[in-house]
Amino acid sequence: MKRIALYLLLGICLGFLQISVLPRLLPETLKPDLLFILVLYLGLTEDSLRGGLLSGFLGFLEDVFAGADFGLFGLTFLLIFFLVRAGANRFNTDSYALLLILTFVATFFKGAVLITLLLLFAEAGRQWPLVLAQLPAEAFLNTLSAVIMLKLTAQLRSRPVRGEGFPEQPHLDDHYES
Amino acid sequence: MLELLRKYRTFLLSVILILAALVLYSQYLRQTEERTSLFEKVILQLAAPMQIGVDVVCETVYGWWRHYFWLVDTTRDNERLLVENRQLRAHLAQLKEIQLANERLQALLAFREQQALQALPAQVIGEDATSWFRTVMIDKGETDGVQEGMPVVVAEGVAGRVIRVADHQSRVLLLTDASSAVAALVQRTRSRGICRGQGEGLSFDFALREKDIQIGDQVITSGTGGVFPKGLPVGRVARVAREEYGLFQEIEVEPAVDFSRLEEVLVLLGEQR
Repeated sequence: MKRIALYLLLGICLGFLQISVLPRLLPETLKPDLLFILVLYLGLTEDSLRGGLLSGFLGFLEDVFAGADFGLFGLTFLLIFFLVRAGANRFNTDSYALLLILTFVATFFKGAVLITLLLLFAEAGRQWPLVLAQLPAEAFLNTLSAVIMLKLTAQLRSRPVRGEGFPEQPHLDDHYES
Repeated sequence: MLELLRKYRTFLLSVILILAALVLYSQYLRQTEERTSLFEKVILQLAAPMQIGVDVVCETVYGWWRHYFWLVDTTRDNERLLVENRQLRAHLAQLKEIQLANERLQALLAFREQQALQALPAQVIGEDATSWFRTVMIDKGETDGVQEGMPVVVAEGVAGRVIRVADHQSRVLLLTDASSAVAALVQRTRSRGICRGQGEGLSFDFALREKDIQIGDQVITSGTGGVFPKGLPVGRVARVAREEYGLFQEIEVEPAVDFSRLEEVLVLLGEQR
């Protein structure tokens, strides 16, 4: 429960950064998706129920502040979470490099899922060239943001207060034990 | 049976959650009225004070930076000798800012008076959370009379339309978003078409090949789409291409509004009372 609350708090903080602060500092066409990075982290570390519900919530949260169709990011984030979750057992999830590579690759996958959903369900056939054109820049920005977030998390963890702070990496191994 | 359920628990959970999200998404797409869900209203309501706060803080810090900090970078002696001069310059800079804001608001006011529709001034307080869509948040909502679908304009022309409404704030889909479309016509030749968003600029679709459309022609709303009143500037023709075959010409339009500097807007509420 405490972990869920921490993830929610982290999600709200990242959402606030992404929605209110970063658009003022970065150009219109260059914005990282911090909530998406959190979803990838959840995919690597959390179980299906907790991570799935949290990913869905983060997606719907992004939907409130992005795009014209509610539910688009909710569905996209859920699909990506379960995909990452399915592949997580095959990788060394302790590795920071994995999250960075995953962030870069998954941003392209997110673009592909969004384009597919928009083409299938919404009347927005013209959206895909825009999404496609901005994917490389967003993948780079997302990876850069993931590096910064990992550095900050590492610093928070190195503080002497035990039992507090953000969820620690060791539970990445939980799923090997079951 | 239970054993089977336990064995495929993760898979079933994934399918259920994804299906639920898919149903929610498709249900939303089918809605034609009241498209702002309770979840969205609550989140928008909660986010409003934070966004307004950030807006105020950013404006204040920007104001300090522009009006004071750049003056600090001098020697102490010079600072003492030139303090009065600096204060005056800072004051002048402030006045200049006020004058610019005044000019913008005057233009908006003049435009508002020209309109037969009742217009509500609003402040832009936030942008779209992603780089793929073009929406902005404004500080007026349902309690101010804003409803989904209402046109949003600035003195220069059409800005977009309201797509989500909470009590005290709304989200506006800008004209440049790829899912935006407005019924328009070329002012000089009265050729009709549809202006669609292309991210940065606009395209003017369905203009027949034989119609005389030239670079620089003004494009205005035709009023036939049911959202925007007739005669609002949309932009100017920036490129015209006629293929050897095909029914229509390919036309690019440069928007009349500078969307990167959108600060104050007007929401057209309805007929003047």
